[in-house]
Amino acid sequence: MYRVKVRTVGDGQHPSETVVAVTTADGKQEELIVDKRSLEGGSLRIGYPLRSKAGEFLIELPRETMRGSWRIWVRRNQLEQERAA
Amino acid sequence: MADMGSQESIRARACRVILTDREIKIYIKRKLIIVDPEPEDIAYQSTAVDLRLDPTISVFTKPPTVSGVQQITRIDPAHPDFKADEAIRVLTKNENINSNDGYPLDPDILILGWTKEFLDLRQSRLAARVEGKSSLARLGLSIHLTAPTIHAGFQGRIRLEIINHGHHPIIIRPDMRICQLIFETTLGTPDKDYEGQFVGQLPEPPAATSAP
Repeated sequence: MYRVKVRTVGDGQHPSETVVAVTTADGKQEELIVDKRSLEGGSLRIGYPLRSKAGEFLIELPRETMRGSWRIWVRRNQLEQERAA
Repeated sequence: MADMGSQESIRARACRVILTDREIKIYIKRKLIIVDPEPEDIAYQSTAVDLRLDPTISVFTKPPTVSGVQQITRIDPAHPDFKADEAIRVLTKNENINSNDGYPLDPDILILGWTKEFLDLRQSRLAARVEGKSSLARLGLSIHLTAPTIHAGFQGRIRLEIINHGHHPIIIRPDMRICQLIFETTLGTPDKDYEGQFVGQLPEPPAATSAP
């Protein structure tokens, strides 16, 4: 399993939520609201990448972004491998 | 060995789509579904489990009035800079429902709410649907607007779009059983859970984190 690095950018609407930003392959920020329990060490579990091309990976986020996307392209350095406990 | 790809086996697997109360409890006991806090026995029906309303709600504010004229806020979801949750934040204010008085929801008013229960589907190949309760629907209360799907891998509280379609105010209260959750097995493995296509292709990253 893999995780994608995120940056916390604000509070969610519910006290249990937070807004995080993911850096896409073209350097843009995609923001999404997630439950605080989903965040571990500044990353979110995303399963496995779906496609790859030229060092970029298509991933599916755990929630729909504020712009309405579930899947985004990210660079390899945005991914972390999750080590089994 | 059964041919898992045959039409018959696909039909057989596809037939078992909705979890019964017994299966839901087994999944919860085995931590394949996390519902926190765990539902009480009275929350179950044969093929669903009721969830409760969290006290926090988001109430849409009325557009400002300038010189006696109400200003119209137009929402443009297809605009490149549009961010749905930012728009909702601007257009709403959060309130905590007082458990004694409740919140009187007037006819034709939309508010946003959350389930009290936290849901985690990451350990199973289940998706779910959040649906209203018929007892409340008959009064005109709906809890979602065309978006009932809880996708496989979901983690969090379920957001509710609550509208009173009836003719009389309906008082909603924290902890009331407001919706029901129906769990469905998925057929096959979603791309994101399928490791095979990337075995050995992603180089080991420099930093690793521990699984929760």
